[in-house]
Amino acid sequence: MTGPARRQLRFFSRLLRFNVAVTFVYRGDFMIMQLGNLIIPITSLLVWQAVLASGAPLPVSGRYLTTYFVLVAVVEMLASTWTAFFLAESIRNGELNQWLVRPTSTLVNAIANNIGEKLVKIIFLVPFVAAAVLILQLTGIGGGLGYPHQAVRWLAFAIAVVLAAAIRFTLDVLIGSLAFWFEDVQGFLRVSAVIVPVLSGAVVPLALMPAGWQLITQLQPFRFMLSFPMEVLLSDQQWTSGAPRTGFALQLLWLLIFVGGAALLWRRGLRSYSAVGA
Amino acid sequence: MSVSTSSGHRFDKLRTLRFGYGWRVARAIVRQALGREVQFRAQAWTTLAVGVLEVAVAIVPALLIFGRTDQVHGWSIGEVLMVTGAAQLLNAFLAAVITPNQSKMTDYIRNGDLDLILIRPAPAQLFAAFRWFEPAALLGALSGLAVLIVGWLQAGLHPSPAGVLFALGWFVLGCAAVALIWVNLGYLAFWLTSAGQLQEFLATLLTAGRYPLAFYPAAVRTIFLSLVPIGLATTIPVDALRGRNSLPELIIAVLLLGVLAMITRLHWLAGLRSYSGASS
Repeated sequence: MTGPARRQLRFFSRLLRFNVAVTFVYRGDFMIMQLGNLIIPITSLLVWQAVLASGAPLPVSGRYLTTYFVLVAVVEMLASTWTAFFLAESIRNGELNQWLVRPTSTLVNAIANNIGEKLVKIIFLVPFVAAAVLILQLTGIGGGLGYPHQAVRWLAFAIAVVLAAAIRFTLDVLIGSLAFWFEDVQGFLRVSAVIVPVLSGAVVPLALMPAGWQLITQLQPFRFMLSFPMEVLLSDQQWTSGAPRTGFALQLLWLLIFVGGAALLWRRGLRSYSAVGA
Repeated sequence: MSVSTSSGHRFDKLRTLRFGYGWRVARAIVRQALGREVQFRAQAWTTLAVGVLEVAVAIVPALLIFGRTDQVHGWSIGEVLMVTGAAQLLNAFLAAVITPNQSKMTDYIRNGDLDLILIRPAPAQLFAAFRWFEPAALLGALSGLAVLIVGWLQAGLHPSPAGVLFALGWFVLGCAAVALIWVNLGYLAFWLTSAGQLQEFLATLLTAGRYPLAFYPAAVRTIFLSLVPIGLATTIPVDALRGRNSLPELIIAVLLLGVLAMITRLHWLAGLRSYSGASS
């Protein structure tokens, strides 16, 4: 490893430790936030179980739906980020200046913040998931949980989740960078908060979207931010048809497109940035 | 010191009670809100656009559900859309009147800005609750109304005039009840460091009101009729239009709302006692 890279890695590990500590300070807020993340999947689960119970013919079983929405909650927690808001805020009020004079980038800090936050989340997440799984097994809501036992599927799931988190993060950098040109990115954030849950499969499993739309549903980037990891794990059809390979290729392609877009916007933005002292 | 405080109080009361004073304060708040909105036109347009988008997305699940079936637990697509429309109306009301003020509650209390509200010659609790008004958010009500009307036409309901009155009554009552719960969450900032996340949590919980209560298990239904009374503003009014009216129930709900209002008043007073701003 070259000198500068090793140096950045050292900064990164410092920032990571710092961010883990900071996240722990806000643990109360953090817990409530995690609980809040569970609401949309739980609502969707209950509504779709009601649809199933009233006799509607669905292409997926109750068991698939239950497992799907439990996993949505987990993946959503692991993949979601809050970078856009803080990035935009630091650009708007000139806090970015502090980072411009430092030997490392605010984006390195944002990555450290993201990973640190996720480490803390996993600690909080384990009891939640255990409780949810226990309740679902005991009550048998929607026929309980069903999940595959092959290790390779879980490994593929884990990789897909990491890539999903990376796409979400770059999307956030992209939206946050808009603050270089717009006074207020709140509108963009709200639009993405409305659109992403639907197109990513958080509200409705993409398998339940109309058949005529399947091609668009399958190709659009938001699928790879949430739905794809679940499909890789849960859909037998995916594995028999060899679809995961295409899926991963598409996920990587979208990641590259987002990284390219974010890098471009960030560089251009920095050039046009003019806060006091910059 | 105590003399000056009590005379100050009396003076305060005189001014508040003077005919038309409250009206003048309210008018000033609205005028200023409109001025702000005109100043930040782009933001007003974004708010409108996001409101329309929100409704469009909110009806997606209903459209998908009823693409596969005609009814769910006795509810048709038109009736479900009416519930979604009512939920959006409630949302618009909260976004215009309640959330702009309650999101500031934590800062008021933590930074001591509440001092500036307490020394004003206006009823402090009302002033803190209604000082900031966001007219642009009311535009979201238009899209909610549109969904409600489309749903109504689709459902082909022919409610009696009494049914319409009942529906309106329940809706207003439900909005008031949800608003009071929200305000009380805001007051928790008196005791906790921040109430922001709790309010976010409630906001997300309210999205569950887009579907009729019949879609949920009994335990969840009970919560949405009592602790987080969103059902009172969404499902129950539509139920009234479907012909399910009962006067005793409405009267009990009004009485409970009165109790909730009283709790809110006591919560505020208790909060003020524990509050220690710069000058108190």
